[in-house]
Amino acid sequence: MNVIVVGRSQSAELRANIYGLINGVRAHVLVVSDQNGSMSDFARFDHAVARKNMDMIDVAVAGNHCHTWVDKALQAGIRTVLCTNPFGLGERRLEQIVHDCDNRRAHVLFRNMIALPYRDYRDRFGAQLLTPGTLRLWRRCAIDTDDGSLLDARERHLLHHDVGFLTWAMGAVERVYAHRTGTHDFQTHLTVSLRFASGMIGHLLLSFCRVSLNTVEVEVSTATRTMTVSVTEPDTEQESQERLIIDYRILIDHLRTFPPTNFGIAELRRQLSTLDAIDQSLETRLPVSLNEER
Amino acid sequence: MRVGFISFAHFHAWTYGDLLARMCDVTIAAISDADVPRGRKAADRYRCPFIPDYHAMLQDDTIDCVIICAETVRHAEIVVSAAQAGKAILCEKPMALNLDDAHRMIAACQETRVYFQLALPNRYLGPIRDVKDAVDRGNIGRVHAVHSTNRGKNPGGWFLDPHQSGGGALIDHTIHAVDILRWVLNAEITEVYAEMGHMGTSASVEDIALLTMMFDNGVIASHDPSCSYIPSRLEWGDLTFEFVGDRGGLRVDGFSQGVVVYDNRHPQITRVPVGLPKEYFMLREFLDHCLSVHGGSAYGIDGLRALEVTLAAYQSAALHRPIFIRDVRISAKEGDADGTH
Repeated sequence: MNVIVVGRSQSAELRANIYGLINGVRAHVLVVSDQNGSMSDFARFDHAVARKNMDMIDVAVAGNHCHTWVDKALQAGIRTVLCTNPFGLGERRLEQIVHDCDNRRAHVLFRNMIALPYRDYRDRFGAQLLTPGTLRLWRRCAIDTDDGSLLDARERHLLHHDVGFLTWAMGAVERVYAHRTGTHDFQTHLTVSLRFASGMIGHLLLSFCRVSLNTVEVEVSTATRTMTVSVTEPDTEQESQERLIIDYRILIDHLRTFPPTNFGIAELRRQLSTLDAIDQSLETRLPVSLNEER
Repeated sequence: MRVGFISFAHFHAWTYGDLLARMCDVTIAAISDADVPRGRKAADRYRCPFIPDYHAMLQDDTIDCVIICAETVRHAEIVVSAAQAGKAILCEKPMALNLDDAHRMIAACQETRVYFQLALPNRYLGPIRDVKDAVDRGNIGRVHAVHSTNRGKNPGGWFLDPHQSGGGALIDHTIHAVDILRWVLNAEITEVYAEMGHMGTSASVEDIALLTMMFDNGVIASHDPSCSYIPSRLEWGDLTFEFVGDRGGLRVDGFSQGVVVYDNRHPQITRVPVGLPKEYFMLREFLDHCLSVHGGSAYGIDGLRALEVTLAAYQSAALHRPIFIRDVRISAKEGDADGTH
């Protein structure tokens, strides 16, 4: 299996190293000078795909620059597209990516959706998550920086990740109510009440502290089952890389055996509108109602 | 000290009865219950007279205090009568169905200078007291947020009749958490937002809910009071608190201390408390107050505050907006809050 990794130096090289550890996968790295792609970057891309049949592109540029590279890959006949995170994209661009991939029967995957054990959670419990009940997802993060801007960015990234998982696994959200407290420079706690269309009452908590467990706990209770998962997040770079290797191995296995179904645009829109509603609720300190037409 | 029981409708009465029966300075003097077979059963167990009409029991001058474990809807009427009879009162929570009744109960006890306490035994749990101590000492710095759970199994019976209980999981399982949070944080709740619903059961009251509460010191608390422990779960429920402070965090399960017993004959874990149970300390404090304190309603106000929060939560869940506690108080004064749902 040939994978072309497109990205800035550090992230592209990290992924290339990971692919290098997976049997039967060859990574071809294209380190770009401009995330949007310069003429010389495009030329090198064309040259690489002309030389080898690429099965997959791993786009490791910032979210709002994904589209250029996805487009290039689809035109070159690449059938599997892996992006970092759909939420850096505007709704129109996101729609276009999904539409283009569907038209060309290509798989589009997002990195934050392939991580174990969240995917496993939905795979195992499936429709049982779409019934009335209670849900709690609590992410606790230890932070080691005094830089408030870094904390904000990390909170944003993880919020996107967790909302993505929740709306992906639990379906549409009807109403959100969110609050944040803390000092912002080194501590923050976000609590979000989520009313799902299924009747599920969800609760997302995101806590950053200097001293903290580094865990994610998910517990869902329905009339017939209680399902819990507790994950210790990687504490070190090495652990983080080991986790990534596992995720990528499983992704490659999936692609070789039972390719995953693409996300529908409605599913992705739902994630974006839930995030928008959380932002709005944080600003107004009031609950925000959503509907699929938003 | 001679104690009278009024009603065994709430199953906690049996716990209180068993503990009082083993106290050398306490006599269970009489039992009254509108449910005659249940009352007789309790009287047989505690070897005391059964008096069907509680008014007759209140006429007995040898009885010092009463423990009221009736359906919530009857609390106000019984507390007012007991206060007028001059008996010290321990009343099961929730205090009442509405604020008007709660105020009547407190006023009656103040006028008659009768000691009035709500049954809030979780303050007496060792781990919870340790948490209070740690927060007071500033061990975790300034508290920014708390998440609590008081989940359990569906109790059935009159608890599922809103006209008798005032509601479901929200009212039944929020009172304790609100009491602990106010006590530990030494702060008052100003605003509540709530979601509630049904977990697919046919009950006429809610069995799932989530509250978001703002305190006057800036703390945000969220609380899950759901009856989400399904029958196959071995534990009855939980009472957990996690405090997030600027110097650290603190996590406690109030029910986790104890000897855990697995028994093949019963598909449920029995947790035998280490040492004496929380109810013992609550009863002891109540009895001590009966002996030494005249007048006041030290804990009646705690029951009132917790009730205000739950009533605000019901309003919030119905209107889909946050409710200020001060507005609930104003509505009550205007005769607007009937407290039934």
